[in-house]
Amino acid sequence: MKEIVKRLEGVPGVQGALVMTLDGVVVASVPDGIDHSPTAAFLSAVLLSVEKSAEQLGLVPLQRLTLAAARGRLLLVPVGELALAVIADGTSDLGPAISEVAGMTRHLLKQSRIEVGS
Amino acid sequence: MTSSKGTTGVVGFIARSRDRLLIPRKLARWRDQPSPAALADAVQTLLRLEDVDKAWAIARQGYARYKDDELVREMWRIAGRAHAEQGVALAQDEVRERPSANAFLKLARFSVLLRDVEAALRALEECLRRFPTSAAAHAALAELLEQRWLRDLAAADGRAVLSHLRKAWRLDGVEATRPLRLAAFLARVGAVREALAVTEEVLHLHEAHDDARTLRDSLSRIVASGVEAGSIDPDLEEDVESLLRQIEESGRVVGDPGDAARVARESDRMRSFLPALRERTGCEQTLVLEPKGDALDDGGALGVCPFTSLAANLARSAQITVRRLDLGPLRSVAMETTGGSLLLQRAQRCMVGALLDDSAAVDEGRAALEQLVAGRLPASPLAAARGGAGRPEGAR
Repeated sequence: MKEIVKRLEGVPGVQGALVMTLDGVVVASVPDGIDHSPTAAFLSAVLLSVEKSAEQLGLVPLQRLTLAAARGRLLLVPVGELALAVIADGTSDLGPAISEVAGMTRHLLKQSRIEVGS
Repeated sequence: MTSSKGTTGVVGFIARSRDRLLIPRKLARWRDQPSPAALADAVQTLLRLEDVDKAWAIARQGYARYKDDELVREMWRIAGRAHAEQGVALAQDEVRERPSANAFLKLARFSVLLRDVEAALRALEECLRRFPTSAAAHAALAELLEQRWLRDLAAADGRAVLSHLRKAWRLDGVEATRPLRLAAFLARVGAVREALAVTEEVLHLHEAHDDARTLRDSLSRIVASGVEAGSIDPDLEEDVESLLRQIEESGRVVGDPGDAARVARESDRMRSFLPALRERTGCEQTLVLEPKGDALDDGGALGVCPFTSLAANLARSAQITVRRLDLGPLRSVAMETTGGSLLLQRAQRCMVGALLDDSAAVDEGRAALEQLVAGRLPASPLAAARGGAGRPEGAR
């Protein structure tokens, strides 16, 4: 998983990225040396706090959450039972890079499920 | 092409010659028989002749005399803009050829007149990079940042305002207005005892300063009543940083009496655009979220429902998330799902939201919200009067 997340490290505009479980545990993150646990825990709390109202409004399943601020953006993309969060600048097009990493994560999850099943 | 250009040149030359011949008569007409028409004629001719200073002087005379006349106001705006554009060009030349703090200040001042605040900020930042001891530049930068802070309530801007005002005070201790602005800003964010200390210090140097005395008396009363009511602990030091962060997080300035009115104005303005937003995006549910969490639409207050709960929760969580990640003030939130999307856009101190059924319409929705915030969607009269009895009670 770390290798997959590392793919985002070199993408122009990306300042950091992490893959987390939906209950806020960091699975892999870049750059190294930064404690991403508080961010993951907080994002998990955010998802929980909006879950009920979103369901009542039929706003499910989540495809992407984007928070845009003056000095950058946070993008959160659910990938199976995990979520990929990317912190980036406000302008770079991250669509292709995020799709690639999300796709690879999904593939890895599927493989691990098959291995566990067999 | 060449012949057309040549013709224009000749026509322009003839027109300018005519203007030059006629301008003394037009100025005499404005002087002897002043009227809005005479003013417009003189100002337009002077602008064609590129005599911007004179056009601006005459336009100001006209504005003083016929302030309510639409034509005169338009001439005043046009001449004012031309004057500011000329000022920017001259200041840019001065900055290039004879750079000085004063030249940068002029550039910033004229940029503000043209409403180009970003250019003014850039000019002042460059000024301080080259002339770090310019007290006037620190004070001017603090003033612009304070305006931005009032709009966004970003803690970083608040910190910068305090830092620049303190530097301006240190660099020029004779000028009393800067520490008084520092005191007023501290009081506004809730650090009243620190504000009082600054005011006392000003009064040591300027004993008879009326504004300082008035501010000292008013702050003393606030501190005394706060201590009496138990809201101020005299033994605890005020944590300005924490106050700024609280303001950024809550999206409102608790102790500022003008804050509620400011938010109400912003909210009313945004709500007037909601019918146009619905028409443009095809969505049925839109709202304006006020900093305290109240949700309203063009019909009045909205009760608690999944839409208002989701919007309020998301806005608050997003605000805290971007602050924790040090990404600056929140601009927008987009929650995209297979079943539709919720978009929120920061509009001054409020947030405007739209619930889109069609998940493919996100880009269009985002563009419409940005236009709404910029005031480029048609406004409609509000269905409900704001406040008190005008607001519908409870949920609708």
